[in-house]
Amino acid sequence: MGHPRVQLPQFAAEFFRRFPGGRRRLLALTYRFNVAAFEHSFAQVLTKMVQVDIISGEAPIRHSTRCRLWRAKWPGTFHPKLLLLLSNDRAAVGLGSANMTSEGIGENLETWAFFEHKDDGPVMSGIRRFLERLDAIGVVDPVVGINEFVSCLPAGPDGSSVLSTLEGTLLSQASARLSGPVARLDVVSPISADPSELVSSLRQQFSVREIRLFTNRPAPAIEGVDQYWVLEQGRHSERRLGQAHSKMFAFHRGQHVDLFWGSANLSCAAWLCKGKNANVELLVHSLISEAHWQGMLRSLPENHTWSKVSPGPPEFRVDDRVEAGWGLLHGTFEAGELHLIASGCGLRGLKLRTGFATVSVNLTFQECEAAVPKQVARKLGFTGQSAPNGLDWRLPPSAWQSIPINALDRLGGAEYEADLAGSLFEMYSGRNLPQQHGRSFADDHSDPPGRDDQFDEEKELTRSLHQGELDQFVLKWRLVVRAIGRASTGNDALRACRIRDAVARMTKEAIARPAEWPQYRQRFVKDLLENSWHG
Amino acid sequence: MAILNVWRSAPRWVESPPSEPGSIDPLGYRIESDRIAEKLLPGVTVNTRRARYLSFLCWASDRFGLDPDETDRWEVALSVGEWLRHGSSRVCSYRGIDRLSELTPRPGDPVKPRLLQQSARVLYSGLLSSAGFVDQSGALTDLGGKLAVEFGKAIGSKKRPKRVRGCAGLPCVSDLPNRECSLIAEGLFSETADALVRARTFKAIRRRLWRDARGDYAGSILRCHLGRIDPSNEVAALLRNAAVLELRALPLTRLFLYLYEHDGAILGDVPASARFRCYQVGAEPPGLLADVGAHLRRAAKMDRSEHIPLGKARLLDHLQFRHRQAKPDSPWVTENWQRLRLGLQPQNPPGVHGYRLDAFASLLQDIRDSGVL
Repeated sequence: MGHPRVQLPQFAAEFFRRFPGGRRRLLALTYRFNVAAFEHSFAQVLTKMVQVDIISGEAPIRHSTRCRLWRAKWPGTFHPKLLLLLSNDRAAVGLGSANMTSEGIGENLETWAFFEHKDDGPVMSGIRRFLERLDAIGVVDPVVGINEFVSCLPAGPDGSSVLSTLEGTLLSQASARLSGPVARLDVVSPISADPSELVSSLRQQFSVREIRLFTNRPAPAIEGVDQYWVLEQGRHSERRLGQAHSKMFAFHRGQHVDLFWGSANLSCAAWLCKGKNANVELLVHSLISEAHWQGMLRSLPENHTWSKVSPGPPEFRVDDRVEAGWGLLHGTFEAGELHLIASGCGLRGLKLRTGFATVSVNLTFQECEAAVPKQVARKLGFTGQSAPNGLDWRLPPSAWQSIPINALDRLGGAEYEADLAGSLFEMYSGRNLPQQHGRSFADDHSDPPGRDDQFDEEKELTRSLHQGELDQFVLKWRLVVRAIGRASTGNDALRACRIRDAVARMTKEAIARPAEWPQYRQRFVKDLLENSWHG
Repeated sequence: MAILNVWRSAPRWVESPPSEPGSIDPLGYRIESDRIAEKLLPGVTVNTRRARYLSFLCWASDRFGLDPDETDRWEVALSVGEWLRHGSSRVCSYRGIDRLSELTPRPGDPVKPRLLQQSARVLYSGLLSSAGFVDQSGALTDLGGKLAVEFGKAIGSKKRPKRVRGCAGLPCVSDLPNRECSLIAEGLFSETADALVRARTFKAIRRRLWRDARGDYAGSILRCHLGRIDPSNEVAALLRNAAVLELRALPLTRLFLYLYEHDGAILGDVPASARFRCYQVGAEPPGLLADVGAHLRRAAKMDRSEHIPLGKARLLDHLQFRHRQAKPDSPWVTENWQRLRLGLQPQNPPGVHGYRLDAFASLLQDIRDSGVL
């Protein structure tokens, strides 16, 4: 019997179809990211109003106008592969070995699983803890809003089924979970550096009698490994898989197998290091039967098989892919300040260009971010009243490239500039305020509201031609409150997180445009946002 | 000690998502270029680049009849032999060179039954029939039979090798004896109605240009036909049409792709004048718009049948119009340039008709080296 498979983009598309919420987000943590491959594969999701954030370990090769790209602020290798989906207050978590590249999404041999049910609590709570740690140590930019996902995941007891290098070495965590000798250890992993020290530690720690390695051809000889198997294309295979990139560690103990799977390779950097020099890795601990494990090894995709081979000389294919070039990813213009987010740090002499002007400027990027001096920003057309939605840049002698500005507020390719209330309403309801720009729902891929979903204030906004500006202001912010409430039904922590975010945005906006935000308006909105739940 | 929770299920293997079809040619220029190419070089495709596969397929057809598996296995054996001979060197661009370089088979390994998705048997079937080596029913003609005998001499009494080391003595696909060359030349240039068309095209283009065409995507042939040409020369007129089509297809498709990737935003305007760099189009603005303008102006001078506006806004409208005509059921972008289908790229960015000329130049190279032509 064939084992079930998973298609990453299909699951995401299906999730957003099953739960058509107003607030929809996709957050991916990946080591490598390929914009074109991701946009192609996740096309069904990206044409919807879904806010997409990608946090990668390596610098993306080019920018995306559809996703917000972030570089993880981690001095070592940021290696987890995690996909978080959010629709209103429902969340799904996917994790495994696949990067968000064409190879990861469909060409390599990869393992993955999604979790969204109550039964998956141990994994979901472990991921929650992992995200909290990332947030606490500042690996992820606060603008990403990772707390929104945290609020949707269940909090569990300390011992979840997730292991992460943020909690100590993987070896020590695995040791705490396994007692007694291990008859055999099966490892599925690509090999890129000499893991002899790790193999020796595993043998010693768990009294392993036999180690089998399932990897790519040519299999390098590793001290302590007893058998070598390589991935082979089957006789009736239509398509050849790229490389075996899956990472699984099966500890055989009697009739059961303690399986650790996720992002960690068979490498010392993944299993033996801790602190800031370690990789950031994630593993899940599963308990499965021996028969299930054997069946899984036999039922590879595309009719591939494992072939037993003799190892070659211990030459390790060091990953010689050089770090992709430094580049700007996107920019934000808030409170009169233009900030540029890049794929790396350091001092850069840049040329910047908009329809207004071309300027040369030296910027120091700290933690991948730099503020553009105000007079330079003004020259480029970034004034208090208006701002271009894109910026060209070049690092001489390379060619011009473009980045989006404030793409974080542009969902689903929306290209108009809404006011803050309009943006927030769109963010949490998935549709525009009715009178704005007279746009139809078909234009922007947003979902038309069901009859029961529409709020009274929406009708009211369009009903009368004689509303004053203040009436509209009140109605709009009441709509924002209602949209946040509906998107966070029954989850007070999530609602509080979203309210905090809305208040923060309003405060920033008020500082940037003091004429439009007198004190009484700020007080009204703050009060409305923070206290209207109790009424 | 904390209670340790364990998830009682295993992960799954990742399955490739279905690929989206039709992700080439957003402006529909390929249909026009194929039409011209068919009038110039019938039967030749971008994949028919090595003449000796024609000999091999005739021999395989004679020896194994309708057994496609055996033919395909012999093709793999030939490629493995080439790999042992040439390695990953491109001196002999045999089929499967990249795949074998990746697999690096060792002498004791078994020969794989398949290397590539499409075998030479499929890719060369059109040219086999167009050159008169097989008839309509797929049976060998007299000419095909003679070619089979010649290739059989190179194979001798060898059986299909089962191990990599056994492939070492198999013939090289780019080293053709004179007799094989002359038989292939006969098929390509004198046996059928298609052959006469190919012969006419071959003669109309100077030999030096055919030689230069390899590796230049036939740009040199097309550049020579941008000047004034005797309209009574049918081939020259077709080549001129191809050259003009290229002047439009190349820059406009590049521009479309840029707009597709940048949500319709492009800085600057089309300059009123710019230096014409033949078939060279910048990938980014402002060079992109300057080259687009220069190419379109040159095309308009040579052929007034299609008017393409040069103002930026109207040029973008024109692209939208052409795109909607080319992809009425599955446009890549909305009328506001919002992407509907993401991650698309043409397999061969424009210059499409040049590839067939290039492939034919490659066939000629194989048989010319033996001094036949």
